[in-house]
Amino acid sequence: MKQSSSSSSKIAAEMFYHQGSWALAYLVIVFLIHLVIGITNSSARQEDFFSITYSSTKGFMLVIGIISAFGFLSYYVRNGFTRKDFFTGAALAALLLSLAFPVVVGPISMLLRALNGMGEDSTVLQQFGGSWLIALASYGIQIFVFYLVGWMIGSAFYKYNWIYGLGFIAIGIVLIGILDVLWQFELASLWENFLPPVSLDVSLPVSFAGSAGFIILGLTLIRLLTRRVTIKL
Amino acid sequence: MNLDIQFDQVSVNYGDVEAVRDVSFQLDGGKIYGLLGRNGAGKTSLLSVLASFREPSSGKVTVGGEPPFENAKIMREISFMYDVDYKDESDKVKEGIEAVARYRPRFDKEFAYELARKFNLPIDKPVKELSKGMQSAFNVTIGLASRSPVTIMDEVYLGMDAPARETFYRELLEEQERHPRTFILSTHLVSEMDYLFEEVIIIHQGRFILKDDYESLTSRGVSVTGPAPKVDEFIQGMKVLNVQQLGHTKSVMVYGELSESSRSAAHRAGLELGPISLQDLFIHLTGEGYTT
Repeated sequence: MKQSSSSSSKIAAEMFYHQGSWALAYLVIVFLIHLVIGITNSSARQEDFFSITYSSTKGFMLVIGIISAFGFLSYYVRNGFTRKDFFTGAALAALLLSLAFPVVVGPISMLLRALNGMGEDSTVLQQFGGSWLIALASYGIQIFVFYLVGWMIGSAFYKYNWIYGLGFIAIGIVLIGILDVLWQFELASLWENFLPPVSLDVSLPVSFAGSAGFIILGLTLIRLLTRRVTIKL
Repeated sequence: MNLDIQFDQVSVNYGDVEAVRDVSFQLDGGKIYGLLGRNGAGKTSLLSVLASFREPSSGKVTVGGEPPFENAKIMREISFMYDVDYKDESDKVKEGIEAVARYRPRFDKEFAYELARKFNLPIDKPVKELSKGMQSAFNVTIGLASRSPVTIMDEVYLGMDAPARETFYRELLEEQERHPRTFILSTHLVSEMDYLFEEVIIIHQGRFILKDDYESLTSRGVSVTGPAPKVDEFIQGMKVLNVQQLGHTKSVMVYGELSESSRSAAHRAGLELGPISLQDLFIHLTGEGYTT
């Protein structure tokens, strides 16, 4: 048991290091883009750094979640780790990464805002009643779920053929859609074309509880997909 | 740590295709085994079950009495080296060695770097930029230096040139002297590697054919050499595996053991008797038309 926990923490530390360095590179790029747009496009009203990062990190986490299902799983099993150790280690690494993003992005965003002379609140921040704490918590939770959705889709493609993969993409879209209702309505404009308009006033405890449910569901599906999966040569 | 390996009626199916069918045999710990089979015979499928890369479709594998699948204690003691696709491996050779040193409990880093030197591996180059032969040398380096009690090398020499393969074979034998373990070398380069094997397992079309020690296997047949007419006369009615002729001298490999009287008859006729090569036996047992 002790050996197993040390194996998974080894995997967690290494994956956090790897993915953390990609995350850093990604943040630098987002920051530079933000800077360049700010300089060249002074007339139009510009999205603030936090709002840009808030939505684009989800895509980033989705992609590295998919990658973790492919490269990392094969690598660790090839090196004598169990699928279970990989599962625990990778989940832990994703959790650390989802904590690290708000911890890094939060202060930078606040600093940028202070430098801009405390102008208008960030668009995303306004949705959370100006509370950085809740905004950052929602950020961390959402990017964690996006990572899990990517990991789940990647695992389905790894284990089955593309038809099953597409099925899991569908499950992923549903999960992300509901998550969006719980937190932000960022995608509302998308599904309002197909569905009658809903005006759900989701309270904060419901958002947190719903997200917790999603995280458990996502982790369970991933574990079921990878528990006895054949490693590709 | 000697981990005996037992395959018990193991089958591996891919959809309707039976890659491995009902294979049973046992490997005692601490020996070098040659696993021989033609392309598609099921070698890699069988080995990937042993390495816990997959579960058998039916049957059971045990290592040290326990099923290896998802068994942390066993899995970390089994190294499976194969032709890994390194096209996305941006880590340098050195980082690759350091990483595996963290994973494998018996890894000898010093030995790994010594092997890297012997193979002329550029340790500061990303693994994905190495040539095919160099990537194979990297695999061999990791495989030998891991000192795993069960070390599987599946066609691990691909792309290595002759001197590099020689280095590999020599280092493997020296390692076995220093730190005996179970090596399973899967290959079809039989003539080149036969001297490495203590025991040989042959599989064909997914079926187990035989497992025997090298000596008794090569005594299952005889090579008869001498003047062509006398040789032809002597081998009447015998199962011929291979014929070579140089001028008037003919050398014929026949399958089956000779009785004492046949031996003395051969001697009287001035014929020379010798063991057959594993390669010839392998070709005979797995050749075209031979079905299980």
